[in-house]
Amino acid sequence: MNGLLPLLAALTLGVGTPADVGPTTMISQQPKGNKVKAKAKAPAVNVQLMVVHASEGEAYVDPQLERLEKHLQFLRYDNYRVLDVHRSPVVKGKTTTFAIEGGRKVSIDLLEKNKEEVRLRVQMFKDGKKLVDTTVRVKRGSTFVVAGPKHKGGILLLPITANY
Amino acid sequence: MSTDTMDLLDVLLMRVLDGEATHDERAKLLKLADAEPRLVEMKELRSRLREALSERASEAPEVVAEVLAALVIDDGWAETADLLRSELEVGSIDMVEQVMDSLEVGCEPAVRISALHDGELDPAERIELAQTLSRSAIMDMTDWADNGRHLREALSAEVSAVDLTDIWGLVAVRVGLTNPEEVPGWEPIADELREALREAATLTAQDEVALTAAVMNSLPRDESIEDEPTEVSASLDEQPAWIRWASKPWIIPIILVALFAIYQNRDLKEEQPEVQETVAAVEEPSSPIEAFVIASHNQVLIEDLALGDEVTVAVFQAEDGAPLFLLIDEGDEEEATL
Repeated sequence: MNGLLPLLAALTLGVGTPADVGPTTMISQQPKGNKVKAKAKAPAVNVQLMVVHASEGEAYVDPQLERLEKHLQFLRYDNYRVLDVHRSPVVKGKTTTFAIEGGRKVSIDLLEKNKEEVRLRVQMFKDGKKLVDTTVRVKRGSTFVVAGPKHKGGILLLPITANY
Repeated sequence: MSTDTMDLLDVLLMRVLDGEATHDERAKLLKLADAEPRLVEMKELRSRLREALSERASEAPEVVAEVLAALVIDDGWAETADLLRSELEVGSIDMVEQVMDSLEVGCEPAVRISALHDGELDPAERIELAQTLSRSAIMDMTDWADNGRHLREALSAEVSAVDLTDIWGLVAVRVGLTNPEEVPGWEPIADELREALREAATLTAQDEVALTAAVMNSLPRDESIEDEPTEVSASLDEQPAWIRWASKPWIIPIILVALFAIYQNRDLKEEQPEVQETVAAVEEPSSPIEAFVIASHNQVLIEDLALGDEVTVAVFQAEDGAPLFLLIDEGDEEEATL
């Protein structure tokens, strides 16, 4: 008998006009008794990870690195070519992993986000071994560069940009 | 006109044409021409012949031209010549076919042997012809074929070794082109080619990146590229990477900035209430995912940094607003990469 009361209540609340179907549809589809906010959307940012091969040889800088060129002077390399460009939304609570050259992986987690900046956790792995684990606070649209992994006689530069 | 008279007239005429006739022989030729019944009516011909023979005896007179001109005028051959010319122009007489037929008939063995030598006969003809040849002839032809092959190989080797790069430039000048790169009449074709290439060569940004990566990955690279050792670099290479970075003057303010950021982060964490957000749907960023241009002013702070074994990291920022660099030395090789 105790089990019939909730059932009757659910049936009573569940009957409605078509006008009731709308913004609350998602909520009505949720399991009963689960308090979920109507705007429970996970924050996300767009992340771009470029894979640049820096090597010695003929002086060349990929046109995509035009803004970065003057900041590369302190490196001993003079040939910079973009090998790949990864772009993906990074959702809070879900790790986004990029496979890059040399059997390495870069995983990015969105920790926090506000109008001005985001906090990202960036980890780099090689053959399952963690090389770096860092948390950075990135101003909207800013870029930072993870550099140094060896690759084919040179190194890899990984300019990472977060925008939203 | 008797045969003897005609023979004498011909002989004298040949001597005149060769410039060997004496004065008496010329006079005799004129006398015979005047007496020749068929030439009696050809006054113009005899007149021109006389004028030609009256020239200096030491030079060959233009008898042929004079006589032919007179013939065209007086003998009525013009109509015949016109008919012959019209037949040739209309093409009702297949002269080429007739000439080739006569050649094939006349050169049958040689032509067929040549065709056999060049491998132009079908198997049945080759067998038939070979049976008619002696063994020595076949051996000779085999030797010639071998010699021809050796000659072709030698010529090919010589030609391939010759640099023909500048040949067209020389040829272009000889044929009157001022600019060897611009051949008159090719502009419309060049325009179409240019347009077709432009359409085919246009890549999307993603395709361009993929192509670049594919090309770069396919290029062989020397794994043992090393700097020329100098006294300074040699001494630096002996030190671990983190010591070299620590010795840089700019590392101290950067470390201070990093420590300050970590300290600030702790404050931030304490101030912010712990909110447990439920992942129900992805909040798509307002800006579409497209190529990001590296900003002119960047602001990135490192809050936390943990390293794997043997890994060293240096943090570097060239100037205010420049992208922050995390310089990683994986430490799996003796030589530092940065």
